[in-house]
Amino acid sequence: MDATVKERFEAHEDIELDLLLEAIWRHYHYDFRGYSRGSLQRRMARAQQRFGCESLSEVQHRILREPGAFAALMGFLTIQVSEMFRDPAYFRALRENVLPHLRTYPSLKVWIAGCANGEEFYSLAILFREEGLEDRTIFYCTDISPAALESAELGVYDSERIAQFSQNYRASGGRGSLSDYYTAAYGRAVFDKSLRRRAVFADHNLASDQVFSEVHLVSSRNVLIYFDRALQDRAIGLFAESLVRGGFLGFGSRESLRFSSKAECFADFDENEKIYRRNALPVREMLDAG
Amino acid sequence: MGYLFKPVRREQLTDMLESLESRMAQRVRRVLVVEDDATQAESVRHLLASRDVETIEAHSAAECLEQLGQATFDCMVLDLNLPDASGLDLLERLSADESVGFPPVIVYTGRDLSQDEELRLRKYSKSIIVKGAKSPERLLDEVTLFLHQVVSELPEPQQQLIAKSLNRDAALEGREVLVVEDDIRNIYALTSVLEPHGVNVRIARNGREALTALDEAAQGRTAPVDLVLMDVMMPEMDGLTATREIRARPWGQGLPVISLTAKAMERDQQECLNAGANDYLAKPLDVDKLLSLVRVWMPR
Repeated sequence: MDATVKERFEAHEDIELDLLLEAIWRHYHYDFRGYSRGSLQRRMARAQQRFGCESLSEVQHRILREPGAFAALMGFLTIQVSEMFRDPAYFRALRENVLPHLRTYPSLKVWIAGCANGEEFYSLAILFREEGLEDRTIFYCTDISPAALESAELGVYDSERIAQFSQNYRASGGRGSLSDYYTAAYGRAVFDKSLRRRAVFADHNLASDQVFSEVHLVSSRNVLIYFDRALQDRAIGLFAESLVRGGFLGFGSRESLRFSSKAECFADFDENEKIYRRNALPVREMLDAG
Repeated sequence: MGYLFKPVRREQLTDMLESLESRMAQRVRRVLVVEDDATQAESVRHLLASRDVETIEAHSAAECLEQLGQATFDCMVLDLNLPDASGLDLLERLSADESVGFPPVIVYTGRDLSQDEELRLRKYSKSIIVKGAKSPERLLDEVTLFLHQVVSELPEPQQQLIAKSLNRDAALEGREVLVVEDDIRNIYALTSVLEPHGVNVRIARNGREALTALDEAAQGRTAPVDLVLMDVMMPEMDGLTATREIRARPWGQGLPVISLTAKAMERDQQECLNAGANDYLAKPLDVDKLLSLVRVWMPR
């Protein structure tokens, strides 16, 4: 294939992707237009293959007519592979260095933005219980995918994943055994429902929705990597608006505040673990309504 | 001060005025530490001591009132356990007593607080610190912040007084509004908008508390509620469920309910209406819009 043909070929794929995102936005009001291009292309290609479609135009044709097909496509777009206590050093840093600060507040709110299937929430709930802060904390678990929220609320994981979870838990400084918190049977592990006693599960879209509460810790790990710069800035602006002065923001290992226009609202707290602290500066621009 | 002999050269005069000005700007800030335990008071003093901060101790509520009656303070650090009064009582008294000054308060407490206690304290103090390993750091930080705030923002009571006399509003005066909201920041934002208009604001922290409060009002045990402002995302019971419950009660048909939602989409807002809300208001809250909505839906 010579260069011009290849160029033209890529261009029509690009057009189809744009039109598909526009169709999703106009018909279903989910805004993926600010998601990073590379990850969208990979995810859409996988969906196209699974749907048995020849092109993204064909995918678009189907999702506009079949809500069921759209739900399936959402699964591809929002799928998150996570683990409990993923990157144990992050959870160790929270336990040893962040929680002593949080302890000075009489009541606490934690926002798990992009909670996916709940792995991060259960990790934090266990951590807060072990450190004696559970009773004064409310956890807001938000995601744009209703299916993910449902699964997060269930707290059921395949047994084969539990070995990895347990290893992470120990490496993060866990005070007991992870088995204290789940019951395993029939190839599945069900996490103790009392861990959800202090949790609110709600669908919330970082691309279009607003701040809903004042919080002391935002944990948003491996969510922003799917966003382009403008959408990242919007989300970080929401976090900054939401956090109390001195509140904490935790990112995934591949994410950083460094290039954000909202970086001035935060100070480094733990550079290795991507934990930042809200300073006293006001968030400059008003958030647009999206 | 300083003195100069006449005739005075212009530069000399400017120099002197400048040094005077800088000395005024660097005036010593005064912090009142209200703490019954002498050792703890001493350690707070140590923590805050610097060239431009003077700390004065009071070991009881009575001493605190005496100090505030005599002099002006930039900030006050208050322990909740005092021999002659509870910290909350003291704060309530200070807020009611016009004859003593009421500087910004930082509550510094050795024990955990219930949700209710925190809510009541937050009316008088934006920063509440529970003592522990990291509390000295936070205390220093918060005091520093208060001491360097711009003074022009300070005469809040006067501002409120003026606002009160201008804004009294026949449609809202003396009406009962139930604010159902778990976020303290929003509770106070709503309260500070509604109260100057003569509204009596009551607070419930989630849908369940709201239903209890409304049931009690319906049974005549408390004053009837005229209107409900209902947050959507709350622990225990969310606002949509609570609104549906209200509509299912015999007394709940005609009660105006306005949803407060952080969601931007039309269908999310439609969901509020489907649940039985009369109207909705998107967050972040717009004060003017809030007031017009409350006026529109307030029963005559």
